[in-house]
Amino acid sequence: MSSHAPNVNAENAPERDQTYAYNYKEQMEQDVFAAISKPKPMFFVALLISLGCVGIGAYSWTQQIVYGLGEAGITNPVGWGVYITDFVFWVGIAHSGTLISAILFLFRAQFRNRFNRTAEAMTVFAVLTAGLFPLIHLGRVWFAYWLFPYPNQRLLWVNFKSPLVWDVFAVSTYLTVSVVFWYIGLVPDLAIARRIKESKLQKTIYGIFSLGWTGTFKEWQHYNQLYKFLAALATPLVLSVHSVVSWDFAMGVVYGWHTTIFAPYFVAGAIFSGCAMVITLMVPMRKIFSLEKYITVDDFEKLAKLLMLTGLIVSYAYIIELALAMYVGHGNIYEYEQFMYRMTGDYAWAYWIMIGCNVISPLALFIRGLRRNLLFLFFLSIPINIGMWFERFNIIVISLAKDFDPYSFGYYTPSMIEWGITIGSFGWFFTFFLLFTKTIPVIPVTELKEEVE
Amino acid sequence: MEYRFKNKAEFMEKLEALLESGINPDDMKIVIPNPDHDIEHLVEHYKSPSKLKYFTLIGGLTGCFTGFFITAWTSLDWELVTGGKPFLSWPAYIVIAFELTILLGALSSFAGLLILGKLPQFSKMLNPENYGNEFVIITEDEE
Amino acid sequence: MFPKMQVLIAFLAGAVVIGGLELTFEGGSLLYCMLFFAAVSMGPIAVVAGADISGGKWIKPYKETMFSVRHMILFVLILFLVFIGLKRHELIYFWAEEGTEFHHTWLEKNFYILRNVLLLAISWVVANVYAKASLQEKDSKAFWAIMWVFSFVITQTIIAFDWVMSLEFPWISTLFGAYFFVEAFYCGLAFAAIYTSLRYQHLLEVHDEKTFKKSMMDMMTMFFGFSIFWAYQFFSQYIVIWYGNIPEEVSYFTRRLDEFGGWLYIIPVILFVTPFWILISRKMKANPKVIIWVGLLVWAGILVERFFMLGTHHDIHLSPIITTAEVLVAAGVFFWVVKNQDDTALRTDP
Repeated sequence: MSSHAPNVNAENAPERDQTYAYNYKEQMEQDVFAAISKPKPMFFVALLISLGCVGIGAYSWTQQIVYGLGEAGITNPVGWGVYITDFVFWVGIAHSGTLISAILFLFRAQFRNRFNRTAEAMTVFAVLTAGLFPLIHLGRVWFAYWLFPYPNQRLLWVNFKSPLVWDVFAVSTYLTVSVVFWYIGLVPDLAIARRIKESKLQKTIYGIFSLGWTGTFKEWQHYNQLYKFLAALATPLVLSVHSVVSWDFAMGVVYGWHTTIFAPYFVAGAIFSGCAMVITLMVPMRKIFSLEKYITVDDFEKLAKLLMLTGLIVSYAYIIELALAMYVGHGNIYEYEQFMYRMTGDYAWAYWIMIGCNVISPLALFIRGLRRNLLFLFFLSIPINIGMWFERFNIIVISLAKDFDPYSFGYYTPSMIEWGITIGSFGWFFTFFLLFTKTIPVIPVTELKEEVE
Repeated sequence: MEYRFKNKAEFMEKLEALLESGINPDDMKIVIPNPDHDIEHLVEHYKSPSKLKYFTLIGGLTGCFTGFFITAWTSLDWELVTGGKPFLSWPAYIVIAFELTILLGALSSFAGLLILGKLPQFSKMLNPENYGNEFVIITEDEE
Repeated sequence: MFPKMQVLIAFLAGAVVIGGLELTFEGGSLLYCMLFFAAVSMGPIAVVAGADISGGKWIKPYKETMFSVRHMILFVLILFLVFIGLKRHELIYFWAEEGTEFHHTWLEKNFYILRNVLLLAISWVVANVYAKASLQEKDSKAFWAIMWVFSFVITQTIIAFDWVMSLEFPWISTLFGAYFFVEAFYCGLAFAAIYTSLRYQHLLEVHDEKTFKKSMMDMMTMFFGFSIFWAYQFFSQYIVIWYGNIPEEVSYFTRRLDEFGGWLYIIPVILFVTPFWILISRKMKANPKVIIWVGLLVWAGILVERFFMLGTHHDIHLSPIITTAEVLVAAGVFFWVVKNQDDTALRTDP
């Protein structure tokens, strides 16, 4: 217990007097709300950089819309390139948010209370980013609504047997449910914001979004029930979303794609990259907002263990895939050649970057001292993010570049437009995230209050 | 009568005494700063638990049914062979049905909170009642 | 740490009886029997390891019993030696036949024997060391829990690939290993359910009633969760193969469908639908009279499923009587081990 609740529950804590919990709560409200008020100049610099990146992305996309998909480097045989890689990357980033907020909630892991607000915000913004890529990838983006089943004069329905349509359903459900889940957690905190904020305008805005929450027992009773059910619904959902994403590939009969382990392997990979992103975001945030008192090194260590665990699952999948390709050998020449090509072919550099970042580097986490070193964790999380991007790149591009017939082998080089849009996606994500840190309590105040009692 | 406490233990004592004396929990206004299992446990001894689960159940089942219905019906409405699969390809439809189960289950649970918890309270959006971090019990005056 | 004398005697007696039964019929009965007991002997310990790693306290009342199955790994090893001794592998695996033309680096008779014997032996040793560390609540328990998870995952994966998948070379499914260790874990939870109801009164007396009921609820919630997770794994494998519809791959299902037809659908019903709908209710999870049947049902489901895995292969013959007899004998040994393994000494050992 002692490691969870900051100071108060520690057995060697000073005697708690009658109003200890009360004072602690008051203090925490002040600390957390101090963090979200009055941006420093650095904030505007960061926001400007992010908006600049969005500008680059917007320019690139406009170019592509005006001049057509030929502006991108994707062509036969590699029809899916950086866009789909980015899509899978961002959906993956989203996953740890739901994991931390829902699954760890069901497991009653208290350390989640430090991270869940930010992680859920990250989920929502990452899904918003990911959702752009299927649109960007469309040749005629103005027909995007054709993806949804609605009665139309063409008398046609969408093909529900297609994994791409499953994806439409999975990702939009995911976005909706994460927004609801995030918002529900926010309501009591918004009510606190309404009380604490001083300007009339802010009071009004927070008041409206807090739904007039008072905190009566009746409200809490239904609220708790709702939170539990949403957690229980979000848990299988998070498994299904990245599974469906993986099936976009696994349903095809392209070697390197068509393999049964894809669903659980993608889910583990998603949580792996998502946890890395939480660390990338939270380590600096904790420092800048002076939240050291509320988010301790112990909490980060638990996150690091999660990173280690999912890293090992991902490594298991790499080994199994490779080992079975070797095992089957000339019994299935395409599978075998695909994996040989990955390791030694044109894209071997990308393959070995992936192995270095995702398999080798997390092994450092077996050392306790490194797990507890926040600077190290921060610098470890960045190569993991890069490695996970390359994992998707390898799967998508390499498998397409070398399929059955030597006649259709090819090599894919991303164009500047594709890189521009990728940069834009990072800008888009960080713009949302920066705005979030200044408008919404970055750690869930109400849930931390519950721990003090 | 209005009782305010800064300490949970004192509050629970008073609350229990009031509940013991036979006051219906629905006739009291209990305000707490954060969710609390002990308090929930105490009050639910005198009051039935939340009915929210029925919202989740009905929403989920509706979603599941809709998912299977819409996929099967549209496949038969305009029969088109795709991917060499039969018109009614159940394994593929499970995915859609599952996603809709979750979607409608979550949305109807959210609606459940709004309906059962009587939210949003428009009057309180702009003129909120603030009790800070205190535990409060308000009973109707009988004197 | 070592098995007691009566346990060892039971092992030898069991091995002799099963070996004798095996002699009367040439087929895959022993392989089938081992396949099931490899899952139930390793799964329970994996459940404990999961709780130890994540810091779950709910495992406490269950620890000792869950660990008591660890010697069954030794029994599976003994059965494997009987299997090799009777040259059953040469009978069953086309690549191990005498004078086969088939040459393969991995599917090689001696290497096969070596790696399986080694993995089972290592698993047994690690399970023992881990049991000691965990029952004494030593600091090293997390380390040994991780070591156990490694040996559990690797052994179950190799069992899946070597014992079952190699029958149908070059058919492969990358999920197969994970499918096996998830099922073993599921079996472990079923074991906890069965044990809870058999010793319910005793458990209530020994442990604080409130804490035990809470632990039980957590354990059964896990069990419920795994019924969903099992369905997820099953579906993940099924849909990829169904959708791809590649002849050499889909043959795994079509061959079984030809033989058993609609009976195959009984597996998701037993292993997912029934446990899911029963355990979704809190009342059912807390009812010892119900969960024993759910636990036994899951075990039965795994038995049936593994029958479909093996029984349809053209090289494998399963005699109903011999197979049932062997499974019953092994089940008797299992029961004997769990009943007689007393780890009090291990727990208090300084």
